[in-house]
Amino acid sequence: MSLLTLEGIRVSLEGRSVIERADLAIEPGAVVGLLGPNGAGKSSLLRVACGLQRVDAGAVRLEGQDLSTAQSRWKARRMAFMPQEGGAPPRMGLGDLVALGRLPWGETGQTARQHAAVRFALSATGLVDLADRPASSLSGGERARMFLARTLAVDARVILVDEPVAALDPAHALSVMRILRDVAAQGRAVVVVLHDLTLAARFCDRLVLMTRGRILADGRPDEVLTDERIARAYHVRARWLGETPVPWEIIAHSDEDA
Amino acid sequence: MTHPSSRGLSVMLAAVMVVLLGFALWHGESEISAWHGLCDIMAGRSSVAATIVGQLRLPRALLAVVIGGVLGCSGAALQGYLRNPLADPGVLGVSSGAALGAVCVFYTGLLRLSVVMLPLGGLIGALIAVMLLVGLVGRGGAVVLLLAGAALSSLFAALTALTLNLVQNPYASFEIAHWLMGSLTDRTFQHVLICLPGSVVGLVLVASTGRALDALVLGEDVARSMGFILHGWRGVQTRLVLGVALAVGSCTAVSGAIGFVGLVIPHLLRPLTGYQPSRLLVPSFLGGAIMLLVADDAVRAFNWGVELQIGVLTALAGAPLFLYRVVTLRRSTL
Repeated sequence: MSLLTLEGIRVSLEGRSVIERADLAIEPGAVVGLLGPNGAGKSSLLRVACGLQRVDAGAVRLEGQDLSTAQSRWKARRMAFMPQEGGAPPRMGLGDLVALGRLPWGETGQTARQHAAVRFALSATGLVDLADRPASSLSGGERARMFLARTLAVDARVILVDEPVAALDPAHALSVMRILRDVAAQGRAVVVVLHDLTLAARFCDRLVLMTRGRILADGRPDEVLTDERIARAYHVRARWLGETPVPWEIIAHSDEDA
Repeated sequence: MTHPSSRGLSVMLAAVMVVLLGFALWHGESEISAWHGLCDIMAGRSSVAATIVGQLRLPRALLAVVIGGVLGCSGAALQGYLRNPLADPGVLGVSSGAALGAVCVFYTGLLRLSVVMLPLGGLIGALIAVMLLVGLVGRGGAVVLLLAGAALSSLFAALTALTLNLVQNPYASFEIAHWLMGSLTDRTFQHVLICLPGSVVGLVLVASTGRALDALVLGEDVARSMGFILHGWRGVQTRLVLGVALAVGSCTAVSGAIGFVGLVIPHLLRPLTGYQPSRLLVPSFLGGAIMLLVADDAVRAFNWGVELQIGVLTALAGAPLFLYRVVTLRRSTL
């Protein structure tokens, strides 16, 4: 049985269809990359998976249980969500902020700070030495790792991450992707929304390519990332660096293409 | 940074509050022994000292603690929930509702029946405002809450102004204007009893939202993903709004509008609590109580012929404190 399944998901926002139909089954131990152009419905699908987005049709099952009837606390302990970063960073201390990941377990203060999951999250993200710094004084890369550490501190079996490397330099982006790989190696399921095809091809076990609210392809990176599909989804022509595609030039398209 | 110091801060503030409470009982116009007064009260003996301490100074000091505490704690919770440092308990419009209720008591002459009619009118005004607010907001989010609060606040302020406009008796309009400035003068244990139930229930509701306020530091989506139900009847917002509205409404009904406490106190204490909203609630209660005890002592100490209204004093003291924060904030953002 899959850890997390999405069946026949349909979502519309303010009368506009955002996800027309999506089926997805997520297994433990793998990093699944969710790809697609802006507006393809990736973030919406991730929010649906986390139970944050109401659906018009379909169901989400976590460990076989329907999410719409599951207790919020039960769900929160099994599934951790990291949204795209936005707005001013909080002024709390980094260590305190990461320890907020223990809230679904009812742990706060020193109990939360000392918990093995928090200590693991801080060391996995290389933030142990920065634990006493105010979050607002961190660099963009440190902040991204801090929010990731908060997500890991939940010690959840399913980890859903929305564009964690969007604003990061190559070194930080690589380090975040490595952390996600390590976490998946522990037997957790990681679903990550990405825009970077190179990172997706390198670090994900499986890719789900979305366009216009539908899943265009779902499979191993080499199966999903073909010239034809990249052109169809992104309207770009890719050049290949070994087995990884690099978006190279925009190609003209008509509406019927997609 | 963990803040074992936030517990230390609470202990320190509590100690200061107890000292100020003692001072409020001991200090006053009459040269009596507060200690003997307290002993007489305990022993059930009647004496001048027992009357002055038990019926004048004690209720007034207790009200300063409860009202100051409610305003400070409510301000901290609202600022945390709305993630807006400018939120104060007044934004919900409930204190304006309480003011209108009390003003109606003046206007209709119900005050002649009993002095207790005034806070009761305020309480009814506050409760109507709470019901309207909760009904208006429904399942809406923070923006709906702020808009509904602003709408109710201006409606009640307009109705209060209309009532003032319609009052024929200049003495009554003077009384109303005076009451609106906020005061703890001549309050009795009846006033304490009127303000206490709503304040206690309200504070318990507000305290129950502490962890959710922490989670909200990371945004609504993350808070929801961590298992907190924010909207709907059982949600954090409803508990917080009901709690703040009940507590602040009950307090305004008794004291009139006392400004700036709910705005300034959380601001001053926030850096000392590691910017974690749940850790700010208790210190803000204690800080608010201290501010109002000091303000009331000052009101009683200054003798300018007329007694200053405590709301005027907190605004006079609060504005410079706030300006100081503005200057330090500006320096840190330059």
